[in-house]
Amino acid sequence: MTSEKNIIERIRLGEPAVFRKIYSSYFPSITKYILNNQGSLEDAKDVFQDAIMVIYEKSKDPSFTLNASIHTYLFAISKNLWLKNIRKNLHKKGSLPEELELIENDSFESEIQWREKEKLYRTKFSLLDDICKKIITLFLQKKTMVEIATELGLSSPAYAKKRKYKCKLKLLQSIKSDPSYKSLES
Amino acid sequence: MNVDEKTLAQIDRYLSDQMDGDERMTFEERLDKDPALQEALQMNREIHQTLADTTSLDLEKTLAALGNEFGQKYQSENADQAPQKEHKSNRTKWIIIATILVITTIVALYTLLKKQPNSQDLYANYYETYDWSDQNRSSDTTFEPNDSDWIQEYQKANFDEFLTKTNNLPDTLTNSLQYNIQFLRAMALMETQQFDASITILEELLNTSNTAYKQASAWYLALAKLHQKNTIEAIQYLERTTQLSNRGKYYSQAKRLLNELK
Repeated sequence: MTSEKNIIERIRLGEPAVFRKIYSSYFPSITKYILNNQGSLEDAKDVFQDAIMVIYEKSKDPSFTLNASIHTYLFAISKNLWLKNIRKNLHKKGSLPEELELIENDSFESEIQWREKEKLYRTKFSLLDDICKKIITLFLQKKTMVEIATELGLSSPAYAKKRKYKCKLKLLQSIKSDPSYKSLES
Repeated sequence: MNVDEKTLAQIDRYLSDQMDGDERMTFEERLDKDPALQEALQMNREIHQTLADTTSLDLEKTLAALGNEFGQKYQSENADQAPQKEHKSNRTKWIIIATILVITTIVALYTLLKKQPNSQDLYANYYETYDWSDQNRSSDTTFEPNDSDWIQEYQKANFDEFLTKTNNLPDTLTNSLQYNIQFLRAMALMETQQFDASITILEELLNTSNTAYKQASAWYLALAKLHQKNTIEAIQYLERTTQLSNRGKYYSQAKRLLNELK
């Protein structure tokens, strides 16, 4: 990477070229690590993507600067994500590999946790029925209940409001009832 | 956390900055005192932030596409190593299977051979030279063996002599006496290891009605077949022995031998 200083800025701006360069340079080494530690190629793809998303989230913090190479950050975050994943599925995967040790890196812990929450919220949202997804999306786009009722062909704004309540409640309950939610909160 | 409709509507208005000053102040006062409301607000804020962040969602899609592209690349670049590993793993698997099969076969053969008695040994264990005097004591025959020099040859175990002397006996002998002599000839033939000839006589005696030798013939036929390693026919003759009479030494011996063979 020619300019480590600029890379965070380019990540924050979401420049496609920088992500391609990151994949090209670092994806093989992290994939090799995941495959050597009870993981699959699919696991490697997920972990690497999550690691980039964590850095992307961190890049929004104006005070954040790189104190090591981007590869060092990516590797540390990927290892931690993978370790958390193994711990979560320990009953399925057997014992933890001895060589896999958690790398303490508090500076990314909140971003890692946020990334996990983000994935949980998106997953639960995707499981809602179509009408619920549309109502919530339109509401978050700051549409009024009159506009939502019209757009979705609902009988009245009051009915749209009632449906919005039911849809949000369903989403909140499905998130709260997920076993991983409690560990994310603690 | 069960949020009622009114509270959820307030949370939505608070997060989308739609509350006026008074309503906002009242809501924040309630918020300070109510941890459940704080939790509900925090969760709703995070959900709104996540679902409204289309930039992150677009970036995720871009990264997923890159992941697929570089994942395939990684797979194709490392394809040479994978089959080698697989090949080694397959070879190990087949070696283990072959070893298990060989061990299983050896154990099965050992068990089978150990369990299956040797028919010649069984013959040796069960065969006893037929004692004419035993039969003669219980027989109602009028034959007086002591008067005949050839029967003395049998009693002296001169079986070849006995066979020579009984080869051409006169036709005037009674049926009963002829059966006696034929049976003793069969016994002498067994003693001299002429099993086929012995079997011919014994089969004839077994299939002839009204002979006192039916069960004894079946028993010795079984032993003769056992000596010839014909276990199947030996078993058939042993079963015949037990069917002809359910008492006496031939019956009990046949039962015991059957148990050993089955």
